Amino acid sequence: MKIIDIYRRCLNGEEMNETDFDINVVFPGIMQVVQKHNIKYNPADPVSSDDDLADRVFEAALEFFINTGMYCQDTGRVVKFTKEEILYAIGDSARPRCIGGEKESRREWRCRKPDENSRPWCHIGSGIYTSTDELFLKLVEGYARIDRADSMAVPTLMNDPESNSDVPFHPSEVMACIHNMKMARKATENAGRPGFPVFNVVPASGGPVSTIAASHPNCGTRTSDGWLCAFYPEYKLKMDTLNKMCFLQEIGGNIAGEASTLLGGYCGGPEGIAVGVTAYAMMSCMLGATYFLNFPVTLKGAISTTRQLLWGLGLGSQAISRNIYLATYNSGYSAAGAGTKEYFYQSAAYILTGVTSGVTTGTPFPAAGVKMDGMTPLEPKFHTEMADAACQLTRAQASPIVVKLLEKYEHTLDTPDLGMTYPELFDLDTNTPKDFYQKMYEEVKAELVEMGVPIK
Amino acid sequence: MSQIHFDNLRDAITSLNAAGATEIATTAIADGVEPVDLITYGIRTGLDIMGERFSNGDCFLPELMLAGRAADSAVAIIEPAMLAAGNADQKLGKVVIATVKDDLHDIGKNIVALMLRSAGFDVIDLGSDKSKEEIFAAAEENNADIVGLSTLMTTCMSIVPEFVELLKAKGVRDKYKVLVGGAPLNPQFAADAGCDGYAADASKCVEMAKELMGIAA
Repeated sequence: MKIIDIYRRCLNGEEMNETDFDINVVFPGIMQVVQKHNIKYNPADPVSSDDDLADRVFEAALEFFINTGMYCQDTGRVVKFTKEEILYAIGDSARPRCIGGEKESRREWRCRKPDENSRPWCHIGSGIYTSTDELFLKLVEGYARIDRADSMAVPTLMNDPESNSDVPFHPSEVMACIHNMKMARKATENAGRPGFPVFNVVPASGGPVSTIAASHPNCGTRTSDGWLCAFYPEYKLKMDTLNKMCFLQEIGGNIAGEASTLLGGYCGGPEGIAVGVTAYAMMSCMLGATYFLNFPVTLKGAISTTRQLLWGLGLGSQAISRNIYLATYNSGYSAAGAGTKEYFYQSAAYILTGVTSGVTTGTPFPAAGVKMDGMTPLEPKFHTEMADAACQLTRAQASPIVVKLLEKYEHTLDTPDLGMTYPELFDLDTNTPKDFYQKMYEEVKAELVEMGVPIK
Repeated sequence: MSQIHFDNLRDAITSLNAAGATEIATTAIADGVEPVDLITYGIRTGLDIMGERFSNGDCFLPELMLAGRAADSAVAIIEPAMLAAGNADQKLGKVVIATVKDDLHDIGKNIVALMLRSAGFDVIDLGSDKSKEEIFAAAEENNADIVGLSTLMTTCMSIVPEFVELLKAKGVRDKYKVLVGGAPLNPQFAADAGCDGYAADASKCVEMAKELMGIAA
């Protein structure tokens, strides 16, 4: 679908109050299709292997998305699509392939299927706040030195150089975004990997002006990088997002449709998460995204490693990978922070669920992504090792391992240990983990091997 | 007899039935049930059940909102009867009330506002998601006696002491009585924050407001 047709529908669709869209359209719509297609949560099997159930989730999401459409918050109108339009948009010929990086780092992000043992795309790193330029450079350089990684999300560097405040703030979003991208490229060059792609050129919350500004080649940005274009819960869109997508389509950049379905929100419970994320993949396709950043979280705590969420996300991922041709990665949020065993357990459960379900994952964010300097290069390294291990397993093999992992951390989710910071966990002179952290990491890997994870 | 009305109203709210809540409230008022009791034993009970279900993960945000809509429907019927039966013409004092910044929960605050009006207070209801600066400006503009702050979220509690500090910084701390309420708050928190009063529910809030105004209950 051409983007001008989306603009037209934003202007001409049915007028509706936003709360009515939430309460009278989205919520009952999801509940209705969940019941009709007999989608039932099974807490004993967090990674479902039921292909028929995954396909019913797809059918439910299609029906839901046809009936619901999406809501333009600027015009107060509902944008709807026909079944034919959606089925065309989710096919493999409807959009450009997702190709990231340059020269030695140039790769195509291919879609996978559940239980497929092909190499999953590894999108490492995170958008956690980093306090100083120096730490940012070391951290991103550490990311770029992970050879197995295919793309990365860089931290957000929103600090005013003349301010000592602990609160991230920069007087100019445009300047901050330009600086962020320049520093990211400098770090990849320092690592000897200048072609390594940045798949979050501007933070998703950045406006279109910042996006356009930081996309200039002078910032080191290339069309083989990736941009995040966020939707709003649930099935809402702002003109700002559409304007970003319009610009990025014009320059040929990799565009992520980004959606955070809320467990316990307008999509309801785990069954609604499965249907909801699948419908968001369809919405991403309608808007011309080349990949899909899928990060459902709980309403309480904003994390993505609870049993209910893993079940819904895994099933939705299967519905997407079996039926929708769109490179997809799940972006996870661990309750526990870096420097804790619980972080590794949650990360392992999340990666096992996503990779065996036919998609890939980002590096789960420690401490729900809210602890400044709360990530090191070791968590992304663990992510790549877990991804390569997970792709050797089937869903049926992964599910009992995820159950064991849940038993290790489920009781800690309400009162998580937020862990430590990069300087506390790493020797910054050598950019390597301190002994105690390296030891913890090796202990966790040994535990995972015991559980049946073929991690090296 | 009244208990049946309370139970029916509670059930209409927990089954998210706004039309049913309207009908039950209309019948109950016609049957002479005390409006305040309908709120306390019907609406409040229903909302408490929904709040507990939400906390336990047994219901979702939209269901909580739909329960709120059902409660509002009933309140719309009960309010005129309550004002007629109360002391609405008698002005005991002026109250500026709001749910604080980043918190959209206003059902409890709405009930408090209604009961204060019924008791004879002049209430300026600012709504929800209001900053301390907005609340202060409204208090000044309306020459309020009491400022009522409500929140249902632990993440928003910090605005209470910040508001008291703002009053001090403006040199008007003694001009206003600050009265707070909401699920995560308690008397100790209110005292530590420098407030003048805390109320656990709408009825207590009326009593506390009268006490702060030096009016015998």
